[in-house]
Amino acid sequence: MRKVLIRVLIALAIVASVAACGSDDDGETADTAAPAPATTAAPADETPTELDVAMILLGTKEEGWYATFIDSMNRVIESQPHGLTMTLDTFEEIAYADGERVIRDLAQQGKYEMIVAHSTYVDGVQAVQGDYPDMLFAYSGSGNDDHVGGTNAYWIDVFIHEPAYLAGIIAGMMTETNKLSAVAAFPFPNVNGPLNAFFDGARSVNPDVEIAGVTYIESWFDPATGANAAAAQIDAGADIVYAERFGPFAAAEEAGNVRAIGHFTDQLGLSDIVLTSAVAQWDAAINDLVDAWYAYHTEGTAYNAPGERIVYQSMRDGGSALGAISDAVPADVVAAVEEAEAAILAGDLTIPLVLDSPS
Amino acid sequence: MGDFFTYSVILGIFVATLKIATPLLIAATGELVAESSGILNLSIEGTMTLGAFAGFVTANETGSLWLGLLGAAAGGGALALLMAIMTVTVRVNQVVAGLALNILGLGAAFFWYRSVYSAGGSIQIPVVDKFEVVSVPLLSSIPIVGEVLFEQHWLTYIALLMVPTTWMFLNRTKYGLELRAIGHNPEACDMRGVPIASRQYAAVIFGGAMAGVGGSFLSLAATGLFFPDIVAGRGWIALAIVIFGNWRATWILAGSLLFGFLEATQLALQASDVNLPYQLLLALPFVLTILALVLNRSRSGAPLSLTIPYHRGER
Repeated sequence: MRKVLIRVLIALAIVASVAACGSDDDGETADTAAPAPATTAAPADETPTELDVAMILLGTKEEGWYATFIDSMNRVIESQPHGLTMTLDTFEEIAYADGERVIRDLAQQGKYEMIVAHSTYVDGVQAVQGDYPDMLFAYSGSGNDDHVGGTNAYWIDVFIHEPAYLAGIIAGMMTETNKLSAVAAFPFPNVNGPLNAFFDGARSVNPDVEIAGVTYIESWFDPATGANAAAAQIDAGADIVYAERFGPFAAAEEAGNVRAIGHFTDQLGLSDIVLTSAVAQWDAAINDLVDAWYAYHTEGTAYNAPGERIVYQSMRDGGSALGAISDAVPADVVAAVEEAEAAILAGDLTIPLVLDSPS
Repeated sequence: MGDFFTYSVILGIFVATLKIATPLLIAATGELVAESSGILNLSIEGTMTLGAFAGFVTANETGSLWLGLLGAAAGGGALALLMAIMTVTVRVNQVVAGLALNILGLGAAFFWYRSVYSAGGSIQIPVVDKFEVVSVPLLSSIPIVGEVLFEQHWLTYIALLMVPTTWMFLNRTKYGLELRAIGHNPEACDMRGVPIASRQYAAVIFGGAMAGVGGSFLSLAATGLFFPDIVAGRGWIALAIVIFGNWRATWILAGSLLFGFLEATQLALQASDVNLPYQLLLALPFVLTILALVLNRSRSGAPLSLTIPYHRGER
């Protein structure tokens, strides 16, 4: 009899605890369910003061494509748009295949209001965006063409062909062998754009310039192969290497008398042989995202991501810039670069964006 | 695009061959010693990555590249010690243990990296002043041969010297022959009074230390940079080279040089106007490895007890 009583008590305790869990769940869903259907009506009655951003990366924070975004994000955070206190948390080394799982985990946490999947994670974003209509998602880079998010998923991108063209002017005027080269990751449009502009810029000031190799190392992250690729180009006569990937600086240092151009971030500080860098800037893109998020949460303006890529490509829009120029660059070369830069900014000089492999 | 058949391009291919082969050769030679004792250590990729970072951070903190090499050996050796504990003492499945420790090595390197260099963004890319190329006096002035063989990094010379050293050790010393005997028939060795466990520990730790040093070539000699993905599959290639070399030091040297040569050639082709699909050359080493595996199947040099845990008094 006593045993039966104990069993009943245990059973009751289990039922009670399950019920307790259930009511917790109800409470949570009630909180989030209310604003869910509202895509046009104002979902929040208080003006937001904080914005926590999560960013997932295929590689690490130092790799150019990500570093330039983090640099821009830090500047935006510093500027406190709309008086927002913003934070950025990064999640590194997320494989494409894990994209959806990680994005969903981050969305579920409730901390983050904006998730930037800073690479070709479009499938993951698409799978999750509908379940969190109040959140803003962004993804970037080329290669998303088959799927586009739209609504609350923004596809942002930068092209840095304009500063690459300016770097090409420096290379064209400074090369002694009249042979330039480039070490790059894959024959992708985003990769090829600045390479073509670099060679165009060089040819614009020096018609004798030849391409001593455009090497695709078939990896985003393999600086040792990047160095070997540059060494082969230097053997073929190149004396200025456009370093779309890390690695060529080491080969140029080893060879002596060889210079290099940095890519994505300002890399002048990384090595003495760097002449300048073609720098990508995401400030304008990030500010637009923050504006869209803020308008949604204060005025109820619906998210309106277009079903296509938003490209922040021109120096005039702030999508790119030429990095610091080395002291090794002579004054007349700097003057030529400044002249072309002014023409680009004034709209008098248009740099064609060519996305095929350079030839 | 430039000409392919010029002196500097062809010479460059041979210089690059040795350079590309160096990390592969060091790691594969170490793995040969470990496997000779009957322990298959599949964690080479992770071990190289851990070594690459241990070496990098040591060099960065102390300012000494040579201490960096010691750090790399210690880092790789430490991971291999875990491998030895799991496979020799606990006797878990070597394949499972190796794959698990591979992930541990990659993860540990990344965790350690991030706890030392945390800021991210473009300001925080850590750099070390890498090893310079060392010209051997007199020898480096020999045309062609001297320029290829004696204008290399210290680690390349060390890697090349390790080949005859390892061959001598495994084929001409009592200790090395006993190690190979353990790899073939640990029971017989045990009866002869050869200590099994301690020899296997030593072999596996040596292999790990070598993999660590091989990895540090990438961070301390090839680039002066560290990224968590810097090894980029070279650990797996080193494992393939041991198979390609049929567990013989000389053939492992040949295999490493072949990998290096094909990679160097495809890079030179891309820098030239010769229109050959470089992807073919990238795939060729793996095709050759499979071919070698098939051709050697009847006279495989693999240690007979490779991957089989040794339990005393059981059969």
